[in-house]
Amino acid sequence: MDDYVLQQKPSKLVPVLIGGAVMAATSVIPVLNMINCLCCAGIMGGAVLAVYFYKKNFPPDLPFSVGDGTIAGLFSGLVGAVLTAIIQAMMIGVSTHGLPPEFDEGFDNAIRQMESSGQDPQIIYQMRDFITQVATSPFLLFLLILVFSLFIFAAFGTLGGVIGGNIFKTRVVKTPPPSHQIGSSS
Amino acid sequence: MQSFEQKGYLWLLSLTAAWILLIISYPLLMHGGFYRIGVFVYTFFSPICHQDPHRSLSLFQFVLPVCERCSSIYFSFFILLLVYPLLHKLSILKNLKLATLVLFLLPMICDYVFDVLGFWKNFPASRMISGSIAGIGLALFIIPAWNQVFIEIFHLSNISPITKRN
Repeated sequence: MDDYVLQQKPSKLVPVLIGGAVMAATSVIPVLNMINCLCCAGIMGGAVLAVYFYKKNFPPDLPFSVGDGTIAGLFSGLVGAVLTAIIQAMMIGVSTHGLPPEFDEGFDNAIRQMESSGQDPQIIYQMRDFITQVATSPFLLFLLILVFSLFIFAAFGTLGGVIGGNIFKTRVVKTPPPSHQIGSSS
Repeated sequence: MQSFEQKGYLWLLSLTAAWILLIISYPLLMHGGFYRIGVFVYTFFSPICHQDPHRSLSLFQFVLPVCERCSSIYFSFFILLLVYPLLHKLSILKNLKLATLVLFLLPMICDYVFDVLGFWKNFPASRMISGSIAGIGLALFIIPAWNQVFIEIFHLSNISPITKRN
């Protein structure tokens, strides 16, 4: 009698951690984080790397699909977001300046645009006060960074996973179905 | 099978439309006086774009929260996604090869790298055209793969991967 076994997919943990770590590194290391200005290449690259390592762990007789890559990309994005938020929170803790540089620049740019578009100085003052409140509250700041990172990393991690899954998927060669001859004996 | 592919397409269309709306919402919010939300929307995009106001498109005196190159990538991706149902029978859209994707990304990479190295001075049109080409390539590569994910998730989820032991 033929013996069939249920093939278990390998664990995603290590590939996802590697992908997440690469994403976090390319997001927090100065100069290196410029790579994300090219269509989030750092985040998507981390996801593709996670898919590559996940595919490497797959048994040769188990097909690797785009869906497997997408899930690995999504999870590595979530890990990358949490790691990035923790690292940035630690950097904020040791620095005297409240906000991470990219957030600080973002707030500054928005305020400068309000000034140049001739907004009421009272409103601009209120906005500056509001931003200072956010920047001086470590918990609020951590939450803000975490929520923003989760959205961005999950979205681009998933896209990276789709790209990685499409690159590394098992190619299925279509063969015509075998012809069954009813009643014939061999 | 077709309906799962359609479901995948509609999901991707909705998510991309939400992303585009978020980008456009910043100048609209600021113009409408919703400054607090507007500033947060602008800051949301700060980790993924340099947001140089001199290299960004503007609407109602407020620049978009992403630069010209990023805007071109997202908008061309969205436009290709919109016209995809009309084009999806073309053979090029069936399964784009990785090498072809690299060809689509190459103008953007060259425009950026050559400018950094000083061989070429990029300008708004070069950034927007090369970004649009990259967005189209990414859309052509991602859409069929994304639809495949939906077919796998909803159609094959009940099939266990069973292999025969020798």
